[in-house]
Amino acid sequence: MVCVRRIQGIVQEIIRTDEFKEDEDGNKWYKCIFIVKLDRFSKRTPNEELPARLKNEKVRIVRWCCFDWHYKTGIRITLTPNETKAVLEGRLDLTR
Amino acid sequence: MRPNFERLNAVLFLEEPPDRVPFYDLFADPEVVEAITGEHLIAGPYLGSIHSAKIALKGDQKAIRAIRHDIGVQIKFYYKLGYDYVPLSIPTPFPRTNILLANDTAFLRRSKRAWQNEYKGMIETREDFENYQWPDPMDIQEVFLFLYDVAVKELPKGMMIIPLTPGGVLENVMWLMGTVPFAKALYRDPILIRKMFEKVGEALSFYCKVCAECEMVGAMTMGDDMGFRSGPMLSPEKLREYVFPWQKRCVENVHKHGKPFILHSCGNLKIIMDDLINYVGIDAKHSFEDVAYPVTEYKELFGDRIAILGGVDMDKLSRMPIDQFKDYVKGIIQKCAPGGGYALGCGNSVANYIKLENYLVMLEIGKKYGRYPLR
Repeated sequence: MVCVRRIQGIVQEIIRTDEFKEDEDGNKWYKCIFIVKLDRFSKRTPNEELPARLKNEKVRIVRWCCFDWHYKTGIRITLTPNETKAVLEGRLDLTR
Repeated sequence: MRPNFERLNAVLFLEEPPDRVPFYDLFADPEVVEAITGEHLIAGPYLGSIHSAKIALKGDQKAIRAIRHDIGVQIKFYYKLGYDYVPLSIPTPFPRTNILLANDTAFLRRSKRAWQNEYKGMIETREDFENYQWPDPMDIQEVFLFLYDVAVKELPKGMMIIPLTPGGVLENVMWLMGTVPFAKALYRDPILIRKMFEKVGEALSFYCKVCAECEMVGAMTMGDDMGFRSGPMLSPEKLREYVFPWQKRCVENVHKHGKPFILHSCGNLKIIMDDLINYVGIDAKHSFEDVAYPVTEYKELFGDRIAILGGVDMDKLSRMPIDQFKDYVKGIIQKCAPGGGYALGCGNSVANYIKLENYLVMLEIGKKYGRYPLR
C-alpha cells in the first residue's frame, strides 16, 4: 500500500465567490477560497513531521461548496497530494 | 458511485474522503440481508463453530457450495447498498451452550433469539478450563483463509474485506464464564481469570495477524462490548490488567501491515478512551447510543485523534417517523462529517428489528447530503 502524505490544517476563513456549477440534481456548488492554517500531516504518515517553516502558515486553496455543513470554519481539512506537493515546494496560494 | 475503499480508508486515517461520506456497519443480520437481496442464506448449519466449519470444509461439497453462495449474497448486499467493503468473520472458536432461547419480536423475526445465560458458565472452575476444547490456531487460519479466498474471487473492483473478530477479548471470556461466575472468579480465582484471558487473547491476536497479512484486507474490526449506559462493566484497573494488553497485541498485529484497527464496543467508555487511544492504539471507535454516549459528543471529544463510525441511533432507526428521521440523520452529518474522519452507519448493527425504510433512507441521505466539497 503506497502512503502518499497529505498536509492538514484548520479552516480559518471561507470566501464564497459568485462562480458556481450545477450537479445532476440541480444543486449549485459555489467556488470558495479556503484559508487554512497548517498544522500536521495526516495519520496516513504518522511519523512525518510538518517542516517548522510551514507550521501555522496560512495557505489558500479552492473548494466547491454546496451544503450548509461545507461552510464550517474551525474544522480540520486535508490537502490533496498535489496541493501538499505544491505547499512543500513553497507555494502558499493555490487559487491561481 | 462505484465502490472505492479509499473513501473509508481516508476516514480511518482522519482525512476527508474523496467524494462522499462512506458507510460503515459492523454487520447486517441475515434477515436484513435476505430482505434486501431477495435471496436465502443457507450455510448457517455448517458454521456453528470453528470445529464444525473445519469438518464441513473437508470435502463436504454441499457445505462448500452453501458457504460460497452465502458469501456471494453478502457481497451483493454490501455492494448494492453502497458500502466499499464487505465484513468477513469466522465461526466462533469458543463454542458454548450457556445460552437461552426466546421468541423474537423483531420486525424481520427469526425463529428464536439467543441470549447469554449470565448465571452459568461453560468454564467456572480450573477443571472446566482444562476440559474445554480450546481452538487449534491452525484451524482458525485454515477456516479464515478458505472464506477469504471465496470472498476475494467474488469481490467487485474497488471493494475490500474488513474481517471481524469472532467476539472480543472481554466478551469471549465473559460469555464462556457467564457474567456472575466471571465476577466472582475475578476476586476468588485470579489465576483462572488470567489463564482465560491468555487463551482467548492468544487466539484472537493470532486471528488478527492472519487476517492483516491478506492483501485484500483493508482494515480489521474487533467487536468487544465493554460497557453499558453509564460506564464500563469492569473497573478501569481490571481492564488495564486483563483486557487492554491483549487488545493491544491484536492492534499491533494489524498495524504491522499498515492497516487500521476499528474497535466496536458498546457502552459509555469515556473514562477509558485515553487508554484505548494511547495504549491499545485503536484507529476508530464504533457503537454509540444517543441517550448515553451520542456519536456527536464522541466526535467532538475524540474526533481529532481517532475516526468515529456509525452512531445513527438504534431506537430512532427502529421507531422514529421517517420525516423526523431524515432531519435527524442530516443533523448527524452536519456535526460529524466536516473535516472527515467520520463514516455513516447504524449505532450498533443492521439489526433485524430496525425499520428497513429508515435504514435505506439513511444511506440515501449519506449518498446525497453526505457529499464533500469538491476539490
